[in-house]
Amino acid sequence: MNDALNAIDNQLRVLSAVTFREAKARLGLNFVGVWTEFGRLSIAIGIFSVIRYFTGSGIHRGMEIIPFIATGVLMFWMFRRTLLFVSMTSMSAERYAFFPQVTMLDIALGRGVVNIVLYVVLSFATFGVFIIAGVSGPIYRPAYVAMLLIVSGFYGLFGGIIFNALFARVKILRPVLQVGLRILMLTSGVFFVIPEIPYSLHGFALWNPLLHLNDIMRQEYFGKYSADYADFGYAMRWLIGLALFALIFERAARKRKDVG
Amino acid sequence: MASPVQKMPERIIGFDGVSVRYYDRGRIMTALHDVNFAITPGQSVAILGTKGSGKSTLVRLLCNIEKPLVGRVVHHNMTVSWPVWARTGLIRSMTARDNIRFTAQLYGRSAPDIIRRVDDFAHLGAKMDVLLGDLPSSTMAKVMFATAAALDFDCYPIDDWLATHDHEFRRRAEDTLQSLRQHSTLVLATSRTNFVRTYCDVAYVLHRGVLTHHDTIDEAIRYYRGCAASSEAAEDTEATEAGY
Repeated sequence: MNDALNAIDNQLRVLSAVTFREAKARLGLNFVGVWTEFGRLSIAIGIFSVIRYFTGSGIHRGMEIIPFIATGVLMFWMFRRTLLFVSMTSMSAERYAFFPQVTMLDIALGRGVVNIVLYVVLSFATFGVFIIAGVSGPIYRPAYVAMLLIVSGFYGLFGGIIFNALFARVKILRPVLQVGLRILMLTSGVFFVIPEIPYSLHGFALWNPLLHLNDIMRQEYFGKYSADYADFGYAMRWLIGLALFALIFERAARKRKDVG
Repeated sequence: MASPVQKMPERIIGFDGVSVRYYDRGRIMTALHDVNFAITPGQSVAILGTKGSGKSTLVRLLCNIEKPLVGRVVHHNMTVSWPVWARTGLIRSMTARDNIRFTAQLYGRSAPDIIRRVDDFAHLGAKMDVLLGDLPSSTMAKVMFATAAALDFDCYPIDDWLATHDHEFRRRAEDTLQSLRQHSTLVLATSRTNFVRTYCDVAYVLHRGVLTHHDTIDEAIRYYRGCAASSEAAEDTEATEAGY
């Protein structure tokens, strides 16, 4: 029993230390990393909102266009950035070479947690700015919005662990992932809600769990849209599946000792 | 040779039939071949070897940075630091203070206490809050050494002696090593025999991946000089054959 408690204590200590180091490396001196990320997000939200405003209207199915686009962009960016950061874990593993107690999984989890926390903070800061500027009403259910963002982040974390393992063996997958993420962005409901998809395509479109999350996000943010087609249970089943596959891939990718 | 770790004392670091091979420029190079030896608390062990004899590989295995291809390295109730004069291992985009804080946190020690001890030793002052990348690379070595000393490990592997023009730091480092010797184990992998006489009481010679134990330091140094001479002769022959 004591051994188990010591092991848990050691693991938590390593995780907190790695998370601290990753946070410092990610945020940079004087929070330069936060401002860079904030600028990047602002540009994306600004450009997409302007496009939507001039091609459609300021109100989308009763939802103000700027927060409508922002919720989609933040949800997808949370997934995308976490996935990309975690999938590059093996590239920075050399930095931890002198600390053998730190495993690849620790670094991946540390990176994931840092990115998720950063994006939750950035998202709520963005929503706050919208509310103060009068382009958005108050958030209908903030706790649910935070939870949905975190779920999206965990998709990115587990997906990142899987791709980190795959990249170690199949380098060509890196550009393939970039293309895949662009396709995913266009099909995940960043710019639309499920009822706008032609009914005949629902069977194809609804496999994407991010589409479900985005739809529920609009429901929880605005309170005047009902995500009737979205299924939170389906999104959670994906989360559990991704977590299991991530653990399997991480284990399979660990360096093995050759038997001589 | 019998395995040194079969009858395991309470605290020991042991190499049990360890072999390491690298694939280098189309050839398989043997860095270590069937290495067996044990280190017990309080010993100061010298590993004498010429350049390319496998010293650094042995130190990396000892520090658990690398895993052997064959055999095992056992750390039983003894904590081992990183290679003491390492100029890598810390993040250059972080300040010295944050790097030390991370290391202290990793080993479950009080960060302010370790930071204070490192500062007392390395005299970083205001440089403590400057990015490591903006400081000379010797600062990294100083921080790594001072942090290792502050964390009180049971064993300190040293991959060759510190080369620095900072004589004051060198003097302090040598004093610290002498004091660490009183309560910890030193493993000094070097090609310089004068340090072996000063710091070590047990000596091994590592030549072309094969480790041999010697009863006295003088005997080890004599054997090492013979190995060094044969390595130089082999290098000269290779150079002649290559037409240099």
